[in-house]
Amino acid sequence: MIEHLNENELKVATKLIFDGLSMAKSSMEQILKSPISIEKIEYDGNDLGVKRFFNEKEGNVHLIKTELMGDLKGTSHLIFSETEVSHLYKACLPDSIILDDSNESKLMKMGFLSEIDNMVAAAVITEFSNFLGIEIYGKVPSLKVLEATEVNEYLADESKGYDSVVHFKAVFHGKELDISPDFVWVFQNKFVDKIKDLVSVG
Amino acid sequence: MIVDDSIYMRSLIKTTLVGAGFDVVGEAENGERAIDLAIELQPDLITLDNILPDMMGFEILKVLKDEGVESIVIMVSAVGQQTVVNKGLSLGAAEYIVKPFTEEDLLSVVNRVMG
Repeated sequence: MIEHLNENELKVATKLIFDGLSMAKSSMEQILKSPISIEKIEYDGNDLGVKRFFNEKEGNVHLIKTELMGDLKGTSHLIFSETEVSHLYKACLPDSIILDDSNESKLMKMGFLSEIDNMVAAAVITEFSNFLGIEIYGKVPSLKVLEATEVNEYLADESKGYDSVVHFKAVFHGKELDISPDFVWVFQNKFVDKIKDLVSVG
Repeated sequence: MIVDDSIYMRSLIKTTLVGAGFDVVGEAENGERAIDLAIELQPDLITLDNILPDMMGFEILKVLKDEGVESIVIMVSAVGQQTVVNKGLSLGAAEYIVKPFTEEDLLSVVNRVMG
């Protein structure tokens, strides 16, 4: 996707992604009650594959998917490794839930991860919606636990039917949090068209 | 009454409200259940998520109005676009809280609308 934009359009797209992730960072700070930073943002218009998940040593990963509805179709995927999920639980949930294996505690843990995705994805969606002047919402997130080696195949399947792929990854870093979730977005081409329209107008 | 698809979020809101002395009379995880419970219980206050598995909070607001439910509604949602917030308020929500929020944020709004 990024390659289809000229220099000015690329600047706009980059700013949009950065602003969206900055909003997501603020949401994460509120959830964790601790300052965090965005260490780096990587984006790639061609390669949907998440490199670290080519390595089977990563074990299970937790993939939380939010489908967009409204003026722009697309899907976001927030992906945490098992270790990152443990860090998040330790930072935000009481031991009584973390250590408990009952169904209710499992649901609480799944619900907690889904809420993180809900807030982080919504922060980006809000930024995109305001900036592009379109009405988009994220549906209720769904959580999947996959083998790390299955992630890239899953994402490839998910992107079928979309003619434009935006893949960006944020590395969050904080005192109580040391995680680098992958944040993979897939959009229809209208996303690119909207950016081109904005740049051409002004 | 608390309406949210996430058991985690319902638990968080419930703990905050109960800790402040409120009684939580019901919880719903989807729109259909929310409407049935609201009509049955007629709670003083409803916290209403905007994105639910079967319908949007906006639609629930309209149904509750048509059904004559007079509960005060606070929308609590991660969807934070100004146009969306304005739409919720124009449909009758007393307040619109954007997730994530602090316990203080929630109680401040609840106390204000219940005052």
